[in-house]
Amino acid sequence: MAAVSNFATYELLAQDPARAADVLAGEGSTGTFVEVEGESAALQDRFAITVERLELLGEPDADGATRARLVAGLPADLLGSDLTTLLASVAGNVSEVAQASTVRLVELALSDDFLRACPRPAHGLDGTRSQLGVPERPLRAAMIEPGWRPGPEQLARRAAALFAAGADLVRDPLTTADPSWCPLAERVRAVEEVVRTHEQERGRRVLFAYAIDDEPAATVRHAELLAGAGARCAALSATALGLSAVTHLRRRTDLVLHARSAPQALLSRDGTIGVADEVVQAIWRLAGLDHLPVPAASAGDGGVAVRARLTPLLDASDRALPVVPVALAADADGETDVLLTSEETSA
Amino acid sequence: MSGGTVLPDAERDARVVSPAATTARYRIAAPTPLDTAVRALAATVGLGPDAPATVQELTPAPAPAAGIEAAEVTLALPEERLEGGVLALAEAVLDAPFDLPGLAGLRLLDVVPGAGVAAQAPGPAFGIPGTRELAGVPERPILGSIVKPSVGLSIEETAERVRLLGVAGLDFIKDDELLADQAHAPLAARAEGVGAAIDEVERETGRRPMFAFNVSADDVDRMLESHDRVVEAGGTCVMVSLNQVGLAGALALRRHTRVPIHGHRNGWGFLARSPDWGIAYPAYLALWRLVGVDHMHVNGFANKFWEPDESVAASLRACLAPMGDVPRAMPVVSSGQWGGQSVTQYAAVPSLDFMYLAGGGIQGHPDGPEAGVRAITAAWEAATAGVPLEEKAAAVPELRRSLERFGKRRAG
Repeated sequence: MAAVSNFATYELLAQDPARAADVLAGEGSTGTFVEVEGESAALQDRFAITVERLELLGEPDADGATRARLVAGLPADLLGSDLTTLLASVAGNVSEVAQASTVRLVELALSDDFLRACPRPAHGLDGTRSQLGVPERPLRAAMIEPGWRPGPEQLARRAAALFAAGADLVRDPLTTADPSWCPLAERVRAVEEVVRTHEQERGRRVLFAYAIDDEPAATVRHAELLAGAGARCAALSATALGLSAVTHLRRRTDLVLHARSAPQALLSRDGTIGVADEVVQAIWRLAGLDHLPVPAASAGDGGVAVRARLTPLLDASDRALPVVPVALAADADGETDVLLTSEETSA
Repeated sequence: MSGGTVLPDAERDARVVSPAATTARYRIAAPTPLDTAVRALAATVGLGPDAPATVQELTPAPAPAAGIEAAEVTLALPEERLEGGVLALAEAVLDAPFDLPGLAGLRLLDVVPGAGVAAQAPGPAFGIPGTRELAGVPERPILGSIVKPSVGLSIEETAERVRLLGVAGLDFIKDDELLADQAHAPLAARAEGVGAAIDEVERETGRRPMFAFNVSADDVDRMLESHDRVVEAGGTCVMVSLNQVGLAGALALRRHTRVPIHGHRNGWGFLARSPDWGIAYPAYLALWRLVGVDHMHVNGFANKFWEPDESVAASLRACLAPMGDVPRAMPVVSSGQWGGQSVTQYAAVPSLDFMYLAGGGIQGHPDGPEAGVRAITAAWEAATAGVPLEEKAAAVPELRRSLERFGKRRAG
């Protein structure tokens, strides 16, 4: 059998963890509910997920179920080189197995080959720091509250004030790219004027994160418009757009991509079901996001979520900039490689 | 799965046809007092504390733990929140709400789009009638299977299996979701190989089964190119893993597609299985239906997975319920199906507008796939005629063999 170099780790609760582990491996790869012709040993060798290790975590509970940790080996031929193919295997029908009452994907260790095929951040932590010319201290972001519907000039004036007050990054109050009341082309013209003035007058570089949420082809056009006007950063809802749209955009733009909320926080919110934040954040970095909020549920985690975003996947260039609300700054555990955000009003 | 995820049809319809705002219904749980959490949710679903969503209805729900309060809350979204259409709706109801601090639970139970969002969204291009027309199946359930083993077959092996399944009489055949564009069977070459097999089936039987090619990819243009290869090869359906591809990618495919989009919901358990957190099927369906997915998976009765029958029935009903002017998506019943579930399913949801997929139930039939097809067809004839399966099996030996082989599994 070929040496396995991709691994997914699950925590599960099952009456019979060994049986659950086998079913899970089958659901993630070559299994069905009855054996069918053609499941040859050679095919199994090349494509079947293997149970590499199964560790029981304690004694059976009152219902006779035992918590267990499963390390599954993922064959390279099964995963190919596409994130959606990977996810259909490690986070697809495995989520539904009846033989475990809870299943949670807690860790993903991928081969360098697979990681290299992913878009990954164009800027990440280091790239954002060099964009801003701020090598060390925590970065500061002002998030203008949504709901304010400014015209381009109004928005530019507010951005100027927030930059003057010390923000390294100001985020658009808009959540769609190009509404008629504040078209992107006019918005970027007005705001980039402010950015340039700020840089010339104060000698300090700053970023404005423009909402470019739209259908995939349109997000690429919006990104081109921004780049053409000298803008360097775009904001989006990764949860709403989804993975293929984000990877699509990442492969077609060099802008800094800023996620407005922790993507797919829903997946990690139940502590025993779903996908741990550590895995969710890795997926979205592989998809190419540069700025990744820590989820609210990580409050009080002693810096775990922040450090996860700063831990290299393939290499240091794919470290994301963790976005942390200033109220949770204590959770950064002294980590200075963060973007501290404050909510700002329209005036 | 939580109870009460679907409203009675009459009530649901009444809300859909009202021209009122888009609404989202949640079950929320938080430490006492709950009001604070509800206000925070309304602000997030809307456009902040100054332009929150409006609380239309608030009904206390059973508290999950001491010191925790719970309620079902229906929120009406401000129109300004929805200028970006279905993607903006998705952000409003799914993104920041699930990242709110201080909650003990949040489940999105239902989403009812207002006329504005519904008019902007494409909706299914084919839905039930278009799929029936392309598959050549006017009334009965569309009977389908999945190529197994799920992944690892060469293109030649895949094509040969498709030919056998087509000749066996299936209306619909699909890739497994684990097979996409891997090197051992690239999509473009598979489309050609399987396309030729479908041509052969047509020559032999006069019927052309629909085949759903998995075009899921982490690049939208690659999905669209795969779609083009499929259509060039005479294919009549493309499949995507909804949760993995995401809404905007699916929307781009919908804008481009010339064939029905088969929506596979692998990963559903991670969204729905927690009693406290996640999304119930009617809400999930509403978003994909707006985007325009034509076929939506709902699991099956007595399925091999965790999902109980009442949850499957609720999902099936949601697919068949009207949603304003947005066409219906065809429900796809699958997982551990072999025909024996027909009586239970039909008793719970007396409709034949669904696809019925059996992988092992057909390819694992002791007398081969043709016998599997006959067994399932007979099982559905029995269910709709009100004839007990055992009685039908006395006349149809293939069904008798299925009952012997699969009937020991929990049959719902």
